[in-house]
Amino acid sequence: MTNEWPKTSWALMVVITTLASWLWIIRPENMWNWIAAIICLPAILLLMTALRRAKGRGPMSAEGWRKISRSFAGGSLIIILALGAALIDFYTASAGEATEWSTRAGRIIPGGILVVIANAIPKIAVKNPRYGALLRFNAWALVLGGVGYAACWAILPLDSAREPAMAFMMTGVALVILRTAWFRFGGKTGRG
Amino acid sequence: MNKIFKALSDPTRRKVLQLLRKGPKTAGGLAGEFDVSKPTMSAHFTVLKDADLVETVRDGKTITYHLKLSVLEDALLGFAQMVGVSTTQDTEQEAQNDE
Repeated sequence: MTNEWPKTSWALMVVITTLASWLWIIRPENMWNWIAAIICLPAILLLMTALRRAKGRGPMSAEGWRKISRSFAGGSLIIILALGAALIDFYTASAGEATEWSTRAGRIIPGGILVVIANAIPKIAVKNPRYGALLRFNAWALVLGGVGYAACWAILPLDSAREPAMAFMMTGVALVILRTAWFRFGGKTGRG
Repeated sequence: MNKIFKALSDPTRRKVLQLLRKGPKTAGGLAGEFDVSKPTMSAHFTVLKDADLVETVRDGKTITYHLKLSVLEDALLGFAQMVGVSTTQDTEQEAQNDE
């Protein structure tokens, strides 16, 4: 990584590593989840850099680094939310005082935070209308995924809320990945 | 929030936002799409800017407007469009006051 890599991205990586290491200590049975959380974003970054070098392209521009660091921040926040939810889950459950509503709150809060963050994504004013359409689509997908996730945990019985909640969240994330891939690799004539 | 409701309550301003979905546009380009006076159009732009629904970029004498809608504001825009809320007279009154 280079000097262009912003300090905030380093800070986010430190937060992720700290949370995942903490979870590794208290929940060693899920070790591979925590390792994946620590290495997935740096691995993607290294892969992108390696592919760029393999294609014989020069060093990335400051604008390129800025865009990647913005995406990195978004991905980091989602991982931090997931790790935070796992920590809340562990401590509310192991305290022996977990009520139905403390369990529900532990799930509703990350969904709510995702909604708040995704809601603000299209506030980024962009020149390229296709990129603007991509941001709006992704924001809508994450907001609806987050609302569905939080609503399932708020309304449904606890023992049957997990699957529909995850279905909402995963649908939102899958739509974001598909739409972004279409924008990046195949959507030159597409519109949002 | 009041500013947002006020901005979205006018059909001309909603149409401005719809036009900006296709990409940034200059003030002149946007004004050309409507059959209203320049002061009225300018008042509409001011209301949209005050509500933080658009961003302006000045390049010399040209002002370019960029869309800046959150998901909630986008949903409110769609709802206002569907219901057809209208308070056009307010803005015309403001523009006349400016003149």
